[in-house]
Amino acid sequence: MSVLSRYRTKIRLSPTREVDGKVDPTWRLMQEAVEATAQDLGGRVADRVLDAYNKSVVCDFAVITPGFPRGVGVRVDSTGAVTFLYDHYDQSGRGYRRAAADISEGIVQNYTALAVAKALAEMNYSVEVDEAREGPTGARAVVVRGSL
Amino acid sequence: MTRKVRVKVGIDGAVEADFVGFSGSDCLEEAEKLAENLARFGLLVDPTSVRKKTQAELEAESGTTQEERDPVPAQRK
Repeated sequence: MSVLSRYRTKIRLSPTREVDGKVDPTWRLMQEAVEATAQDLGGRVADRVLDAYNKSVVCDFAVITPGFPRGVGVRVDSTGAVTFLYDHYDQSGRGYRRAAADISEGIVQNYTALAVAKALAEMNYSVEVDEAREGPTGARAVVVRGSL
Repeated sequence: MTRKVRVKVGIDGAVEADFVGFSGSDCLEEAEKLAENLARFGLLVDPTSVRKKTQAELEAESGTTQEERDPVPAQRK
């Protein structure tokens, strides 16, 4: 039997960054996802974001881009649940909602693709990763291919 | 036939998985194994739809048509 399956996904990291003195694999993966997103959007990785009043807020990870210099932060709570932290308010009314969403969506997509690639590699698949565009908006999709 | 898995990750993190070259219930077992491994990497997956491939999709995968697989017509008694 051959099937096509679709899944909703949820990211849940280890509640603590380090376990037995080593960085937990889920935190390493988030670091990689954040770095990949910063690179995709021409930005950089940081450890804090700014609000609309230039107040700095410390996060577990953050991505700052030219399109959204305040940045999007990633916070991991005591259960390992991930939340994104940003201030999209703009006095001119234009807002930064889209720019912030580009960063948070990029982090989620990159984390998911990296997790799939690593999980398949652990199952002894040879893995290749490509990008594709889909739908009328040309939204980015990441395609992970594994062969045994 | 080589066993392949093709996973497409959408902008919202939703995942579409296509298992090629598996027989019987092997692809379902492989999907379960993949889900277990993903959980170890901090990714929890929740199936929203699972459907059998159509004959046309299966033929496209193997590169053959029904006629090519059965070149000799069935004998009638």
